[in-house]
Amino acid sequence: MTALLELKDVTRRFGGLTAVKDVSFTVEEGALFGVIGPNGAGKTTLFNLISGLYVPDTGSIALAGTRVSGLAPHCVAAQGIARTFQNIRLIGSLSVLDNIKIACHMRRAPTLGSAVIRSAAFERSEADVHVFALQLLDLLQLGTLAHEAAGNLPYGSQRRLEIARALATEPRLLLLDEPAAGMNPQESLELMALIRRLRDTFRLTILLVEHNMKVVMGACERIHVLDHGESIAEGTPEEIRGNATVIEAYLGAG
Amino acid sequence: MTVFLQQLLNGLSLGSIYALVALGYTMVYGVLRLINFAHGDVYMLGAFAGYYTSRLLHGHLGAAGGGLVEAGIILMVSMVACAGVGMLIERLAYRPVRRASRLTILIVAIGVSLLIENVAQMVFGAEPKFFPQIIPEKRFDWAGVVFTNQQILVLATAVVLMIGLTLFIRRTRTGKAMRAVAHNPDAARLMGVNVNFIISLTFAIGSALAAAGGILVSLNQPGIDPLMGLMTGIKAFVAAVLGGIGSIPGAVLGGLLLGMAETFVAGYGSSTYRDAIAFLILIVILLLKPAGLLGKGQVEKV
Amino acid sequence: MKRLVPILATLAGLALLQWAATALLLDGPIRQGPYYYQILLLAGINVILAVSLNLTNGVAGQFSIGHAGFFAVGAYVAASVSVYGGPAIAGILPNIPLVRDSGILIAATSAGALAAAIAGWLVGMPSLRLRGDYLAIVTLGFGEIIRVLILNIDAVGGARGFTGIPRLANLFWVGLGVAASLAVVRNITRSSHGRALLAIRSDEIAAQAMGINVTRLKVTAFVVSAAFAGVAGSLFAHFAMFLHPNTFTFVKSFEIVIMIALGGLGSLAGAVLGAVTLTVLPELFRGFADYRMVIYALALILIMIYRPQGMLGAGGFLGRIVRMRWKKPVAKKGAETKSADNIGGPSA
Repeated sequence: MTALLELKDVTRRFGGLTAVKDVSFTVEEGALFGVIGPNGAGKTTLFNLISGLYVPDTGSIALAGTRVSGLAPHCVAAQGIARTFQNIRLIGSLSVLDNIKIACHMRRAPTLGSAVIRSAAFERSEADVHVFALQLLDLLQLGTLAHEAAGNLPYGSQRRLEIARALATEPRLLLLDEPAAGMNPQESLELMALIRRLRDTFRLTILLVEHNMKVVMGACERIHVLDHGESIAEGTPEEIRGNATVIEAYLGAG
Repeated sequence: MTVFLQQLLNGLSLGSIYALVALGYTMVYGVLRLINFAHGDVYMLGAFAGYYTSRLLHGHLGAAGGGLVEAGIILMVSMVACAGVGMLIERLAYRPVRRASRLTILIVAIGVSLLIENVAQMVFGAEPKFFPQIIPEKRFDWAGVVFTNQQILVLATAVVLMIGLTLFIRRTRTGKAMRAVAHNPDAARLMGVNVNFIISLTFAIGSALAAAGGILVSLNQPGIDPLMGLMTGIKAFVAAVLGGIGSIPGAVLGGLLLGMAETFVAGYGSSTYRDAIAFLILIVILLLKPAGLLGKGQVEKV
Repeated sequence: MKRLVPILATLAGLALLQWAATALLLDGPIRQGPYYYQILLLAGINVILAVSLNLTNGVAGQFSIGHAGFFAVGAYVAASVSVYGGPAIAGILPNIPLVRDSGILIAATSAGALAAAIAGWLVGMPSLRLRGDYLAIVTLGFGEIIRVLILNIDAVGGARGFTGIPRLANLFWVGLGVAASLAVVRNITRSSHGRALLAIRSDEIAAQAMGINVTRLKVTAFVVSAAFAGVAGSLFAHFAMFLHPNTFTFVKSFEIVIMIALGGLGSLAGAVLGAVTLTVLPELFRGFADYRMVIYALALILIMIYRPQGMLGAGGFLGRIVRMRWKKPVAKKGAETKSADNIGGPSA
């Protein structure tokens, strides 16, 4: 296995607060990798750094050997990194299908000129995108909801739609920001099974952030633990479960 | 050198007017994240309030205190009247759309500005009016640099008002509440701050300062008309952005810098392009340092 | 071939209308025709302006209030081409009046559109990276700068106004401009690019994360919008035969904003309706001309407070009657507030 994502000494400060400090880790291609930590540990900041929304103050982030830190978010996405948001950021007024189609724009858009003159290439591409988007929705059990407004979907479906939207950008690395937030244990289990299935179907590498230990332990093959912006441990779920520092960080944080 | 000093003085005098108006923009932007397009029009209303007050007063006060008493009364009346107008604008136009999209709020602001300008044209007439000379002009010559008592008065009043504002915001409870609302309205509400009252007050203070700007400018350049607030308003906004919108010292700095930039362009270059310099500055500052000179770069919460 | 049918039908229809107008002596090479014919053409020009502004302000959610600036660039550049370059263009064309006039108008309009597009690019590149409020001020400032520049250029008449522009635009050409702007804006809106613009309007951060090049797309929309304002400018110049900088003040920009706000931001049919309403109504109420701007301003405020979606926006009262066939980009009130809050945070 080769390294797909590589973080080296990544640091990001906000004013006096160091949200992420000297974090380094490597995610192997095809891995299901979890980052955990108590609230405020810097998990979401880490995601924002990887997806290009923030630029690290020091350190570097590389995808398959290509440096992505410092690139604009849309360029990071073009390199093959897609993400979901913890606070769901769908376009509520548009249909489920259109939300997916928006994410297809990057890889599958026809030229503006062909859209204006409605060329044959444009019609073909629109039809392709339509079929592709519907397939994705079916895969995430959202097919029947394709024409609903995304904002009217129940919470769990919105979370799945966020994942479907990220997949529509055809990524190599999928970042999931607290995918199980607000779900009951049963839903969480189903979600984890779904995530594994997606990884295998699309040959993805998945990096997920959670503060729910149980979910992460059950789903991830390797786990990296953050506390107050710093790495405190990394290992298999078994190793992490038995790690004294981790237990202290969680219990200490109350 | 003399020319330079002369331009510097003229620039400071013009800049202090921009600074007064810019303060209102920056304060309102601070609490509501709204560009109050009508702010320049409040400045115009301030000048007209002063004009009509002086017509009522003229002859009744004689030349008491070399016109200073009259000027003081006019300034007070106009500031109070415009504070009221500012609160009214907030209550009637902005409060109903406070939770709407930014686009909606912006369009409402443009509408309010248009409304004031056009009602003013109907009420006051479109042709310029001449502000009476309340304080007889005295010219001083200091090593070739010519300045007037009015310029001094403008600068002094502006400085006093700005110091007063700073003290109010830093030292009083209400000032602290205002900063709290600017920082986070929801948290401020939970802490027991009456957010509606603070927003009203912000409009009142900002409008009063704009009115003062309107009076002071009329002392120097007596021609006033219903559209006088338009360009000044936009330029004061540029001054606020230059200094860092939301920052009170920034608004003062931005105002002074813009005033000086304009007088230097007019003095050394072409006066035709004086009006363009503000927009040039705006574009340059937005490209190089969008947070402004004294503003803090903030990161959007994701 | 199938796509050519509506285009040919439009051309034929317009030509027929024009033939009828000429036959009825509504139109001629030197006269502007009767009053209502002028209003019709003006309405058409305003429709082009509103529909094009709607692409940036309504669909992409980037608030420009300097559309009159691009209108002015198009008008003055096009008029300069036909006044100063007209004889040269006529020289290389066969000496048939219809061909000659059409050739000059097409060349002038293309030049006007191109110049306005370039101006749009120059204004858009620096300012569209920033938040909406700044864009509003920059565009307003740009519009005024353009006017100041025109006042200082003697070759286009400066403050005296630009006279001697040939009368080349007529019902046919204005109709063609309207049809072209409608078709282009509609085709962009109902495409992958249009969906991406809606995404930018709702949530720039999410759009970026989905790989949408936000700045480039915004600038593209802005440039297309400016180009059509240029087309409108050329048609106006060759219809009015006289240009004056005072026609292109910020008041004209605001008027266009009011047209699209009245019709419903983001709605194509709304832009058309708003433009026609705001052209025709003032003519019907000429006696109230003094109050016109006061009424506009009040209407604008009241619409935004009570019906921000306009006449034809989603859930609008006419919107339910006129079933729109394209996706309604106007968000539901709740969703709009939510996304506005997201955009609302100050950005770096």
